[in-house]
Amino acid sequence: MNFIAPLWFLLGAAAAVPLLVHLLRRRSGATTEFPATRYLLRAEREHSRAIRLRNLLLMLLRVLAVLLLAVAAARPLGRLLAPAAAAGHAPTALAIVLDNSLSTSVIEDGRPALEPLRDAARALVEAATDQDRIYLVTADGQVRAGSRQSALAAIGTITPLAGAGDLPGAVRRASGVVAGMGNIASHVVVLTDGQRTTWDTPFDLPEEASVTLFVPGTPAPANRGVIAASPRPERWTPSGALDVRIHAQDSTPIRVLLGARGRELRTVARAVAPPGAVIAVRASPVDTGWLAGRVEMDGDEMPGDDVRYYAVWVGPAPRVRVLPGAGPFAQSAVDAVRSTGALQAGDDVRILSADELGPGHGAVLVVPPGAPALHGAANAALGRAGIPWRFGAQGGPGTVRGDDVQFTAHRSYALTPVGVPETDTLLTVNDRLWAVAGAANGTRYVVIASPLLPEATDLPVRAVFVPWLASLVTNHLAGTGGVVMHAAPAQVFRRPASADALVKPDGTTIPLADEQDAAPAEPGVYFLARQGTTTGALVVNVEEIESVLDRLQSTEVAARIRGPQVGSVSSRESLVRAAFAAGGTRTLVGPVLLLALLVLGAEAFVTTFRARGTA
Amino acid sequence: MEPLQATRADLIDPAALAALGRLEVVARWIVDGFMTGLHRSPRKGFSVEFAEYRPYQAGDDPRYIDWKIAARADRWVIRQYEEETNLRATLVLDVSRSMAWRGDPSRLTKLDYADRLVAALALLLLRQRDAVGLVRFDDQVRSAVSPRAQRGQWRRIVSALEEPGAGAASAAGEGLRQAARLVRRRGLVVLVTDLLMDREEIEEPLRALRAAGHDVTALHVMDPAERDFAAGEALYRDPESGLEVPAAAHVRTAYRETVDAVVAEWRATFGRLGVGYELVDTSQPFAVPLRRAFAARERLF
Repeated sequence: MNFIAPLWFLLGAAAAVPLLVHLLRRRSGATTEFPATRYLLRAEREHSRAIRLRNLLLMLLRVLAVLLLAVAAARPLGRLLAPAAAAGHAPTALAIVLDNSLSTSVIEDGRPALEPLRDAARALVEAATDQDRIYLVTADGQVRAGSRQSALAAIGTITPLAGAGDLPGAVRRASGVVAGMGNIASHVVVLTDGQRTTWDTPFDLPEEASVTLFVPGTPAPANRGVIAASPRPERWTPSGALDVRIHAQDSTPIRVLLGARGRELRTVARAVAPPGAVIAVRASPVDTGWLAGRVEMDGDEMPGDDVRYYAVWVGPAPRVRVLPGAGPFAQSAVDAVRSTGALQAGDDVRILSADELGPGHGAVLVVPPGAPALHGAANAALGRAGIPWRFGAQGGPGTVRGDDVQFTAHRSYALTPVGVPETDTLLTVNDRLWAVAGAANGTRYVVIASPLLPEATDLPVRAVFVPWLASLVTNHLAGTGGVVMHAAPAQVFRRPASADALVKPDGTTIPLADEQDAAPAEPGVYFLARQGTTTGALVVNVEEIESVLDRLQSTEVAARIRGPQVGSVSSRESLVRAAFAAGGTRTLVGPVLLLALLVLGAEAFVTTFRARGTA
Repeated sequence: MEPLQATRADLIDPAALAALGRLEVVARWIVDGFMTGLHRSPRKGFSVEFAEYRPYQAGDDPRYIDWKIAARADRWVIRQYEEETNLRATLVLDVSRSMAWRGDPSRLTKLDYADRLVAALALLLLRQRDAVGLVRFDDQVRSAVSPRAQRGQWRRIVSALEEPGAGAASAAGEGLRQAARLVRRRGLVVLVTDLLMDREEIEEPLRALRAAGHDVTALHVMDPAERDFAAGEALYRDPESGLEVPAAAHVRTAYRETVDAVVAEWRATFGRLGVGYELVDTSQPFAVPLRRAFAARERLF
């Protein structure tokens, strides 16, 4: 028997009240004048044994009534009668959550870890009757419903996902699917390999959800995988490095491959990666433009994480000129980057004050003029240049926050759009735009809201200024521009403004129409495109936690699913019994309250019963 | 007054009736109602002093029809005699503290009930030309009115009844002995008490009264809450003896059995002594105990 609200058992302490009243009876109560007290005394003397028995019975009935009320408050769940041995089971809506996350693809004893889970699922379906309803829910949340035969067929076709999926979400979905089935009992069975990282965070289930967990309980095999591959910097001009990290017990050889879209990838570097540490693998690719790459190691029992993908833009260092209006700090920063070879002197990109904008300006980083008197001229120049933004009213100080930077803007101007420009928001201050990027008349621009002067913002005097400016130039202004996004298989990602399609490795195109879309289920590099031009890449990789195969026992997993009716079993036979035993499980609040009522009725009867010999 | 003309006062709820007037007035209503219910003249005597004839009226005792005249003149006449005092009755009332109790505020206390009953009984007897006296006692005799049949005797009795009780313990033996001293000639003694006393205490004086030829009747006054214990859990204290007994509703049945046993024991004791015994419930209309007490008087003739 389970209890939905076991805390109410504390109410059982109230059972001490009738007990104490019984024990302290002769010392309690008010004094009342009663002339016939002598009759009372005589009655007590002559009927003391019967009265004691009666008092004891009353006390027991009252204690029992209080305890039953406490049990009812705890909302018990269970079976009223023992399950009929050979009479089958009550109709049950059974949702089978089959863990087909990547970790179940690991080979154990010559077969994938998914196989024992499949076998358990088959046993459940085979034990079902035509009156039962079977739902199959996989780790990606997909629900399959149908007859026993179709369920058996579906079990055979389920393969491991390329990623972790969302198993807790699948359990919640399964409990929702079988909820509210009316008179049909409902039950959720979770078949999982018990991967610790999957069940790391406890989560709640609705009170009415009845769940049984089955974990085969075999020890986790050793695994190795590439868990990180990050280009540094994000754009190579033209050489760069790749930060690589692996999950393994020993140092493992890796290969770094890179290649242009549509071409075969070529090995550009080899290294031996120590377990856990980040190594930087330098590479100088021959190809330029948007390139796709992968880091791979020799295959093991779980091949799904032996490859990790990355994307990088490769090209010549952008040529940058800083005009005087941008201020001395911008010039110093560009000079510093130029000394590393990441930037060159030239006119591909200009960093200037808005009032310095002229015809044929090319890609520009536009800052507001330092003197407020020039704002009118600055906005007029923005208009002439076709940049759909204007500098508005001056705002107060605030903290500018971005993914990699945080600084203070003492003085900034509202960035006011003209029309509805297609832009990416780079930074904000006090919920207002501080830096936006876009393209106008075929040339790209970035507009920021504060002059690059210390009295306007402390950014120029911060260490992050130089890499920030270099990143801004290379990522948003130089070359073809674009962004690199990362997602897990089938994970939802936000479509960038600069993309309207996704190009698969085989060259086919997937249109992107919605603000949010689901990433492809297969890992790989998917280039973002806009009107046929590559504008970045979506890199889909296995979640790094999926490479850690440490496992929990059934009871440990059950403890992480918070619900009053969550249990676990250790054998397939027990699993089948538990799955369909739920057919007889009901809330016992009604019967317990009825019993309490009967006990109270008995108490009232004993209290008032006047038959001879019962006093 | 209108309600009482419409309904016999001796048959309505005692507490409701008592709320309508003073003891004296209420006692008159009770007796008037009671006599109406007798359907015959209550007055009769054994004096042999013939006075006159009068036509028979409905309700007259057929024993006094002159059958010779009826046979001769074919009409019924009643022989009337000069009435005189024919009985000496003493009403012995327990006014101990236990009598001043009621189990429910809507009822009369046992003493209030007994006061009205005694007043009505006295008036009834006086109307029979009986001499009526009164003894009130608690732990001693509080007041004693010698039996007389004079006009004004009832007023004296009522005045005595209106005296406050001392609120002490019962000493019924002394009260009965005083009654024996007051009633020299063979007569009627009516003891009105709650009998919350030791049996031995009154056996000897009762035996003496009976030996002197008196007809004795005991009216055992009980509040319904004393008969049927239904109170909650508390420490119960006897106002007279100070005896304290903890109890709760669970002793109800045992208590009821005990009270039944006590009543049976009193009935047996009084029966053995030749004393009449009537259990009087304070929720009963006054007609019930009055009829039983009056029946005792009737037995003397």
